[in-house]
Amino acid sequence: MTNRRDFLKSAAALGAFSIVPAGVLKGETAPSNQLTRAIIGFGGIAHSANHLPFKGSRLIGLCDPDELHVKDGLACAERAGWGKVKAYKDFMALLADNSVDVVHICTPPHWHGCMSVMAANAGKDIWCEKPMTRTVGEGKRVMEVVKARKRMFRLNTWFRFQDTFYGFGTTVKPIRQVVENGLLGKGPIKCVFGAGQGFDWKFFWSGLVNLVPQKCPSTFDWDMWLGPAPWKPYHAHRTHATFRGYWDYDGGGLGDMAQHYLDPLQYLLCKDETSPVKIDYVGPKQHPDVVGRFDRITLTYADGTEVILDGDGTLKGEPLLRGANGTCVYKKGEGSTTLRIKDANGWWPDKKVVDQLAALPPPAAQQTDFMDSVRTRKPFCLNEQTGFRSCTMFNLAIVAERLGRGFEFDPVKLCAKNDPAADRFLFQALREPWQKEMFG
Amino acid sequence: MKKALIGMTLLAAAGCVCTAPVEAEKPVETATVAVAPGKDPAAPYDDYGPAMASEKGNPMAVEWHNQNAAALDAAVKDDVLAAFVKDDASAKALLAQVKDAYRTDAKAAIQIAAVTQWVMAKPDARKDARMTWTKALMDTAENAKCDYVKLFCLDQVRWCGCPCPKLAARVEKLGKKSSKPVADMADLVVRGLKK
Repeated sequence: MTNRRDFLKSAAALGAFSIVPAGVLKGETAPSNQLTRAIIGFGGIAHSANHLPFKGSRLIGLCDPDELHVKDGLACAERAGWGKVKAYKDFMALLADNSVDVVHICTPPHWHGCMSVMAANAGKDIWCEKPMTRTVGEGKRVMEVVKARKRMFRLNTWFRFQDTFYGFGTTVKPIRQVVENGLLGKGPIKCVFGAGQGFDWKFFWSGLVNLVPQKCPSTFDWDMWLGPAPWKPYHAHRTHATFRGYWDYDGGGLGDMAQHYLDPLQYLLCKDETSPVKIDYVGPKQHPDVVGRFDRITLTYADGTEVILDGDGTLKGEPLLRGANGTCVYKKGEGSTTLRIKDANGWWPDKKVVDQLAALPPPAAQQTDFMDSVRTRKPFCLNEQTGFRSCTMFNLAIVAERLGRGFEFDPVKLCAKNDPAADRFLFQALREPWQKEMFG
Repeated sequence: MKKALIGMTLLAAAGCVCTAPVEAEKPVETATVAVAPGKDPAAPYDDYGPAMASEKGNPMAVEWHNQNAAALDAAVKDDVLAAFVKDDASAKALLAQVKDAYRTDAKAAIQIAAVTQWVMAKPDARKDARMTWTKALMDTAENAKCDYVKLFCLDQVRWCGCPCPKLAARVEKLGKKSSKPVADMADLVVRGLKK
């Protein structure tokens, strides 16, 4: 399918043109030469920095099954300087519009997989909210179709390449250098994600038990919002800003934060091309519909590396990383200018940490500009492949929660090992017609 | 804790979600959201106020877990779960607690889900128990007067139903004579059973 982006590339080859002279725009790229984008799902996250106000491409449209969100979105888009953008009746009309180059998928997670596949099949490049998909089965399918359609895909989290990592006072780059260069010794690494910031502070993303169904507002298309998820009676708490508390749509606080936390961990542990083989769970049995809390989830890789998710807050004092030779990495503390390292002889002085890191080779450069990815077709660093792997950590964790126990996983075949109960959660059918749209 | 949780819920309902990096130890949601000019992050969507106000007495699952931890632990021990599937009457007595539209007692709902997972944890070793449970789920779904009970039971069959043609046919038949929501769920279940 020839789309506007291909046309622009050809036009650029023949000699650029613009409807509005570039000088009129004070040096900015003329609108007709900019990449264009549209936002699917105009709830809370659509307002954040990488969506509505993002200046790397021109916002030309949006859609949402809630008319109030559409009205709000149009007004916000105008205030943000985008002028009058187009309101699509539904996302399928948006995907059919050849003037849209990139779609921002800002829906709840139960839609991410299906919409990503449909967008790829429609010739769009994709900027998708996290978690990438609700199940491993959906993640596999997204990878297949994005690759087959040669689309560019990025996930909306960024800590593997920019900004300080939660609670550590540093980017992940020096931590990756520590791991990659063997400063912790040979052998498995134990990683505790409670050390910087656990998950207990996010347990307000929990559903309400014993809801009393409500009359759905006439301005809201509940059936479309549900999409691939099973139909259940409407209640406002199951939607919009509080959907995370319900298994049909997401996975609670883990669903919200897991890829923000776990993707940079996966990167700094150099595990971008594999997945855990064992998942252990400690916590209460879960409600079948409503997400509760967990105490501890441990993800173990084939080489023995462990990632421990702290849900009950008891691991806050633990080091982030502990290696075979007794070396530990801690977050930056008071009076320290860098992440802290400790070995059998005690704490390294800050100067030693700084000097050691400066002497280490830097990690390989990453592609961190998605608009450049779209133009040059060079995959973004957090793409459908790397994103699938970190999302799989989240998917495995919530399956363990719903099973109420641990299980084993095959990171090559991408299924549970001799565990049909786990596979039922890892691979879930969708409501039609979305099953056909996604899986054919 | 409850006020904080409800406060956080209302804050979340206003569309404030933490996506920007947070250096502080405490969660600071609204301070780090880049919001389009003119949008008040504290302004809730008009339709949420009455909905949230009506839920003030309703606990979140996290709160419920915290308040009922000991009782829940006792209610889901293996021997307790096994007793529910020793015969048809015991299974149906548990499933009789499924009520219309989200009204099922939380402990009963969790026990039902736990039984589903108990029979599936060792699907071959607990084959009789699995058959008893699946039959009870289907009987309850077929005899239910309200759609929600049918949906609830079919949802459990989705996780533990045996992949056999007889069960798939039974689910399909229920779907064909039911409303669209139930038919859709039946379709999901059949596709899951056919894997």
